[in-house]
Amino acid sequence: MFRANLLGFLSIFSLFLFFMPFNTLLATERLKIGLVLDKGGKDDKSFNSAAFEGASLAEKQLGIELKYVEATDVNSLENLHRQFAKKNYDLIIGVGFAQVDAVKKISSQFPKVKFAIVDGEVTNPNVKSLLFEEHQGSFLVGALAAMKTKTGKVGYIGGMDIPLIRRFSKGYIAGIKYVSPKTQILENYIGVSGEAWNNPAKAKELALNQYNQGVEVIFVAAGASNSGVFDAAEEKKKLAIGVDSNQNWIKPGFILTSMLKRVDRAVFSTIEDLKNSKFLAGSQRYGLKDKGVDYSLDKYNEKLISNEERKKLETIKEDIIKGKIQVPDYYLEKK
Amino acid sequence: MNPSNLFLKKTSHISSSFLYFLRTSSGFFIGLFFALLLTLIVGENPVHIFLIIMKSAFGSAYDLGLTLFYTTSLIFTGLSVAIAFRGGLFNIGAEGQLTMSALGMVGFAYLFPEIPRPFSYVAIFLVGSLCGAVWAFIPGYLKAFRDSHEVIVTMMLNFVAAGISSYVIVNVIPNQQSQNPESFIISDSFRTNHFDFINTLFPDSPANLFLLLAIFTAIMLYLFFEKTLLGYELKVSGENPLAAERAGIPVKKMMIIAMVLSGLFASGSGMNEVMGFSGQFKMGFSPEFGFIGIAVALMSNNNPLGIMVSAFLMGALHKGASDLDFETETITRDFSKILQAMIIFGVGFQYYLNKKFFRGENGSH
Amino acid sequence: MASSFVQKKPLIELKQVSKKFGTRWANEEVSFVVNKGQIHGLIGENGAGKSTIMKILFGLYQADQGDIFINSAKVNIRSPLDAFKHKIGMVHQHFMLSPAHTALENILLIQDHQRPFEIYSQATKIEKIKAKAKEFNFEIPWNKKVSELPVGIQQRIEILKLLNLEHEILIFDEPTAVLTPLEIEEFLNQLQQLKQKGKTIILITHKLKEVKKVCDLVTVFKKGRCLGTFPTESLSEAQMAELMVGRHVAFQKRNFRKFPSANILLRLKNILLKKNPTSGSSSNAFTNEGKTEKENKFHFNFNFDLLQGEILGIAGIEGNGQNELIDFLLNPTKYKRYLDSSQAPEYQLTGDSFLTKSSQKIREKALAIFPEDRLHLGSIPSMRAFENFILGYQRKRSWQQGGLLSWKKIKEISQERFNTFQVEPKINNLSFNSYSGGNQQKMVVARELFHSPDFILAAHPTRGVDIGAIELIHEQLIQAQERGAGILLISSELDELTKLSDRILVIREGKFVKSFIRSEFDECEIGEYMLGTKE
Repeated sequence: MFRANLLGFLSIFSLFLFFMPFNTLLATERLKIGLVLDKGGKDDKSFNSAAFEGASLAEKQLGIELKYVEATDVNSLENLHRQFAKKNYDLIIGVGFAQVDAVKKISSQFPKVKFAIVDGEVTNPNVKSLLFEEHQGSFLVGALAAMKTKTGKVGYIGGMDIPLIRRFSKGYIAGIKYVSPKTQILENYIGVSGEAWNNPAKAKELALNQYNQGVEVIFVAAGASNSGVFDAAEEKKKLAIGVDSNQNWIKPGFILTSMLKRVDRAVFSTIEDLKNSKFLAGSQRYGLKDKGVDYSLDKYNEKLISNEERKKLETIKEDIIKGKIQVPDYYLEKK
Repeated sequence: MNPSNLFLKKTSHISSSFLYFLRTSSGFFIGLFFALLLTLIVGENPVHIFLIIMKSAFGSAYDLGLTLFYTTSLIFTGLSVAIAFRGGLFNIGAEGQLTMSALGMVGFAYLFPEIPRPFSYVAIFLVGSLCGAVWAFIPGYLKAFRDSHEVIVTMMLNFVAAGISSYVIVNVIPNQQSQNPESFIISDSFRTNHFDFINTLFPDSPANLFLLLAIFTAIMLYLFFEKTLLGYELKVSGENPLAAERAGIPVKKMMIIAMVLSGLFASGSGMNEVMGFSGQFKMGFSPEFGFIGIAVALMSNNNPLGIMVSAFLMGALHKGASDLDFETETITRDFSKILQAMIIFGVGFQYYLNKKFFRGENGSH
Repeated sequence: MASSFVQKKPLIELKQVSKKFGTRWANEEVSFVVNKGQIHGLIGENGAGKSTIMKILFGLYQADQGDIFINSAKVNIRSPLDAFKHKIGMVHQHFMLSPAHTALENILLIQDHQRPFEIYSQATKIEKIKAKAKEFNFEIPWNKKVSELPVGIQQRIEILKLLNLEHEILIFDEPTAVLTPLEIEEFLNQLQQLKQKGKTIILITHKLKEVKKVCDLVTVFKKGRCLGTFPTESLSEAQMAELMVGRHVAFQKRNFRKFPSANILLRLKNILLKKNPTSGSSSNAFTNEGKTEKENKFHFNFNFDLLQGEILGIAGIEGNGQNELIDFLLNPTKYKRYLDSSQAPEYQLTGDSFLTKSSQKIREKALAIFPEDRLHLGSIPSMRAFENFILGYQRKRSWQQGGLLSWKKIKEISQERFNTFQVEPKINNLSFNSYSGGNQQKMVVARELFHSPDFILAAHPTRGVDIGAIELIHEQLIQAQERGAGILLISSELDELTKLSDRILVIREGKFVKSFIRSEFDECEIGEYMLGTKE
């Protein structure tokens, strides 16, 4: 029996050898771009999705060759960057702060390869760091949430309790208080491990809980977990605010707006710069003024926001850009 | 059927022969085979996929090093699960135990940064072991004296460990230089990387000295089961607690011993990361080693020597799966989960086969 | 061989049936004939192949070679369902009853041509069953739960189940092993009645006395082969035994001295246990659930002395406190919370008090135990035979060398020891559960008597064991007794008890209700005390 198994295995195995593809690598002059996505994966409809969209757009419009991979665990990040670097990719983009160490290490070992890192800072001469002023955008949606609530209660649900997500909440709360200081804020975090970015069930539970306590708008910054909050909003006929990508389309009518973090733009322009030989190492901060962060307005949510509210928001936006409003930054305070 | 039946009979007991290995790991290969067949659905060539996995695992010193790093952790968690199994307990909690061990080590290094070498190594080693052992002692004690089910308790303790560790890491001893949820980096006097001759063999890779410790532990555990009185009594009380009680073996004590040793072995995974490699507690450093360890232990039928092999196979697979994503257009990292699942099915099938072959032996009287 | 009986109408004919397990022939060219309307006995040693051939007939195994004919037509029985079609039914050693259902429900549950959503308790069906019972003179308390019924009645329900399906051929596998003497008598009468109604009965048994009493024909098995079929009246019990074993079987007679020694070896005094601490927990997994419920109902009171060189028999129906007695003797601390300490309880073994000692301490004494359930309590079934040889004695220094277990030595000694006890097969590295029941018991006995114990706790030492092995085990017990060891013999076989014991205590509902000395032994009277019909 066992021998028969083995024989069968070997014969089928050898059969397959015949059908091996002999795909020789086509030599191309095109730029080769490697994109390393975080644990959330390209379908998180949020942060990683945005990066992926930016890169895909570049693939279409700029004629580059794109290869993306998703991390399996912390230790695999370095491995993936190394694989790209070994294959002489022109630019390797790491998405997410978790990749800082990997990018730091590999970029020093492969000084000829160019790297970009989203949401993290690496100071090597071949690395461009793409940073966002999330607190500014959060301030804006916070202001909008405060305008929308009648019960005087709004909520915040963060993915993992880390400084980045605290930065969102700090800006958001400041925005709420700017509009109406008396508003009560409920704040929850989904988890303490990487799973928090991918746990819609828990997110939904937290959201339902908040809605049941009278919350009318919830701002959620939790990657792929966001969908749970949107489900809860639909179920309870309340509002939610998405994050990173424009998520308005997911549950039209229940998503007030999305705090845009234009990772797609940043990624696209970085690739564009490389293509036009304008790639510059160093940190670039995207804020309200260059539309690196913003709030979204499209056909899915235009009915939810009145003209008056829109005007108010625009004024606030102007004031932040001009520096009239100082948005508190969690990072700075911590230091 | 006859020759194979004889063959099964002769090798039906623990022996380190190659044939034995082949028999017990046939499930692995059956599972791998069918998982590879699945890739046909998305239009990939299974042989090509297999070669990618092979190349990914062994292709270069770095690749092999990363595989061996996974192997090290998996040997430890595999042994952890195995000894609990042998003692009649199902330890789902290796994950929590290795977490607590790693946390204990960075915590200790934070509190006492100035212990001189070589005492620093001894101290941090003991602290790491102790934390893992204590975390396993709790379910062991509750099982023995309070009759609470170890599966539930260990599972809950995994969550507790994750909660405690993330609180401590993020709020008490964070790495100030990083956005990552990770601890500060412990001082060099606690790390083994400056005299790590294993690591120099696999430059840039995380493979380290603890690979040797893992192999040594596996061999010692094998001898423990085969040669020592305690090992015998542990096996007996795991296999048949009623008969063990009659034979004057303190079954409850054995349960606790099994769990404590289990926690001790799981700690090795934490050390591999903290002392041997990164010098810090990075949240999510373990891609669920504790759970993959269950598959590792099952594959080798809880034989410590077999665990070294099955840990290596699973390590290679884990490493290989992330490169599949890289090398192919259609296969994503989730394939590694499918691979694991198929292999566990395969192992189950192998148990079924073995049982079927043995039925005739028992059914005649 | 069987041709001399063709004057009767052959119902079942087996021709050259062979069955192989691995490399071993369980049945080799077995041929015999069963006549209609007769009681046909099958005898043979353990592993001689009599159960296997019946399992082939019942469709549980398939023969590798040979043919089966029923009513002269060749049949192919692939499963018990096929066997049902040929009106063959089997009463197994372990009853296939649902303890939570009543007697009536248990029969109703198994019906011919039953559709999945049919109401099973239709009045007409109940009528039919009751009529059947009347026809065969079966008295059954219809509305009692099976778990509350004695084993004898349970067996009756099992038989009625088959009769209700209109089975013509009834196979019984060791039916009397679990019955008391009175129940056995009743059972044998029932067999006679079934025969009179034209049923054909095949009886697998170890008890030659019963064969002699009810069987018309007897087929003898030895080592997988069929030695022949004989009319029962042509053979004496001794001749049957000789055929089975292949040599003359002489049961060693005991030398009964008048209390060989006055030294008290074991004393239990005023051991009052309020409740059974093991009930419901896993340690009683070997008894069925119904029994544990019953055990919960009564308290225990153990009171007796065992002298050196004495064999003290404990008679009783199973589940009346024997298991608790054994358990208490081996692990008294487990019972601490249940022990009534106001009565000044005493537990002395060779002069030392053991009331508060751990089970390890007790095992360090020169004590041997043949457990009531050898697979669950006396061995590690999945471990090899030689590994089982040190179970319970694993801490003995002699098994160790330099602090490590010396398997080489253990292998050698156990092999030697197993050979003296004629353990088959003659290798000691198979897993324990791959030996047959009788050989397992031989291995347990070989192990336990190896260390020359002063005290032997022998629970059902010969249960499910064939004549040759019984002879051997009894011989060993007698030798130990003559050496001066005290033996507590717990058994449900009155034959065994009356043959070996100096004294017999009857245990019922946790208490010793009657004591007999040798001159007063009377199986019927003892049986009545066991059942509680006499107080």
